[in-house]
Amino acid sequence: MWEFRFYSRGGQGAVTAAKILTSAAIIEGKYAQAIPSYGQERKGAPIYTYGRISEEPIEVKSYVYRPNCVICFDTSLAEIGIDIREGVRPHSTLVVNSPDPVYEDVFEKVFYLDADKLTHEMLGEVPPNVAMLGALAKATGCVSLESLLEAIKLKIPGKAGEMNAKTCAAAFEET
Amino acid sequence: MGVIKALDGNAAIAHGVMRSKVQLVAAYPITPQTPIVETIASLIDKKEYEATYITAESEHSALSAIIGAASTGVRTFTASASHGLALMHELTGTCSASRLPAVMAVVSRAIPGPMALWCDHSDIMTQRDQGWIQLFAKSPQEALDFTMIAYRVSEDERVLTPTMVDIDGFYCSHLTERVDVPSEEEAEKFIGDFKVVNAHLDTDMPYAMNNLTSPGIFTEIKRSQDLGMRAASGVLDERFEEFGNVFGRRYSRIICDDVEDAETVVVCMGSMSGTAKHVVKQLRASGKKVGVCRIVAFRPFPSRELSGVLRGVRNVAVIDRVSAMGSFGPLYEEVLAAMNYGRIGANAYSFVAGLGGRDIWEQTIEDVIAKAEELGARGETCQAPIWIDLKEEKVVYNA
Repeated sequence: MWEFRFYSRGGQGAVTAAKILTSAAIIEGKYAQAIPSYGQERKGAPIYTYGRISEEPIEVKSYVYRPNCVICFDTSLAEIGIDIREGVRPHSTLVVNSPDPVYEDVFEKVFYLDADKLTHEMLGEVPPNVAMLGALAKATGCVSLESLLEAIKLKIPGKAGEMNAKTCAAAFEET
Repeated sequence: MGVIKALDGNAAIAHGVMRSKVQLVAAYPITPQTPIVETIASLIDKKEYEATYITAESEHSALSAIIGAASTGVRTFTASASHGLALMHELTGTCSASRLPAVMAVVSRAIPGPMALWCDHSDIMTQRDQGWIQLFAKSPQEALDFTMIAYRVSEDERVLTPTMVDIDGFYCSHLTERVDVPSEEEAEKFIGDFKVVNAHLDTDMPYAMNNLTSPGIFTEIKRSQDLGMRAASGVLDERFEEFGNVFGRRYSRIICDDVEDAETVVVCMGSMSGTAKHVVKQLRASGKKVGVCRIVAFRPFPSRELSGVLRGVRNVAVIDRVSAMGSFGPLYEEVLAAMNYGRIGANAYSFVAGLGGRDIWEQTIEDVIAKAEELGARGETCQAPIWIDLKEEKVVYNA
């Protein structure tokens, strides 16, 4: 079972990303769940979101404390004392929004992508979440790019959905 | 055939309401319930669902509107949580004593104070003696399914008692999972149009409901209500079976896993039951004789069924997601009564966990089981509830 911890800030779209990921896994006939931990949300505040994907029904309903995959939207969270290495299992994967790899000593696999830059170039001033999903799909293979694009278009209808799907596919290529 | 969707618990309930062909919805928004009524309003707006939607000015008014509408013979729904449910309190008794088969979703959130947005059962437990059937769902799928089942049970003429379908705030309400949403035709096989079976308001034959009731008849009315509630046990069994035959998803008033030959059994409700099942499965794989018994129907309480399950068990660990300050948790007291009913002599320990949104995760359940086994091995009785997920260093003893 994949167990994900998403680290982000309010406004970066990680909660939506986890829901789209769940939807993509369900499209493939898998079991999945997304569980955000809500607080008094405001732009820029740290946001924690969790997810699971499995071939079997998922009974557990709590947050993820021992992830085998971490998705970090913002490396500056370390500056306010948030340690994304917390609780990670051995042989884990990190997907990070960064021009350079980080924590290669802790994670077995580190996949990095400047999702902010790619999103800015392709979509403008919007959250980097679909780009991060593209990177996550490439890094883990937990869902196929095809079902991820379908899930994005389901969540975001019309032309905007097409453009988001394109950005996700570009991120998949670039990671 | 139904459609597989990725839905959270709130959206699942909204779809359950639509598929139950509810005619009137009256509600006032409150976290974490708001998305239920938002989704319903949106389905009505998009003309996917036809119903009357009343935006009330408070929860008190919302339930008043439900009582008024249900009294004229229509199928109704409302939803609330925490403060909102507290504001409905005097009306919940009126609704049940009037034998109106309304259904309410309660998205459990701590009752203040201190002020909190997050999950525990202190809200729903204020309603335990208000004469409503109470079903605790653990997942979005169950939230949808129990909503449909609730209408069939509440409207049954042997029951005529309203139902609260409880889901845990955030741990189910905002948990997105795979949900099989029945199609309109499929739902029709289980739930038809509303038929009024008891007295209802009619302008051609005016009369008053819920008048001042004298001591000469009050007790008999309460006893009638109690009998309706007790009859709900058998009706729930029938409807769970029928639902399983139509949709293939099987439920019962208590759902047990790995209890045969178990030495220690965890008894709990709501979303934590999923986590407990997961932990028990892992502990079983390492040779530990543990099981989990999940209460689905807290009202009417399945005393007989539970006592049957607990026969032969050494330690019973009951987790309440609420503190009955100065006494024992409500679920623990029910379990003790069930054990007395069945003359079960096992050790029974009361645990408090998951207050105000604190997550009940794998470690919490492992700690509960370990503590119950430790106390059981020493043959200790339960002198007070055990606050298993407490941060001891932060407790103030003489404030």
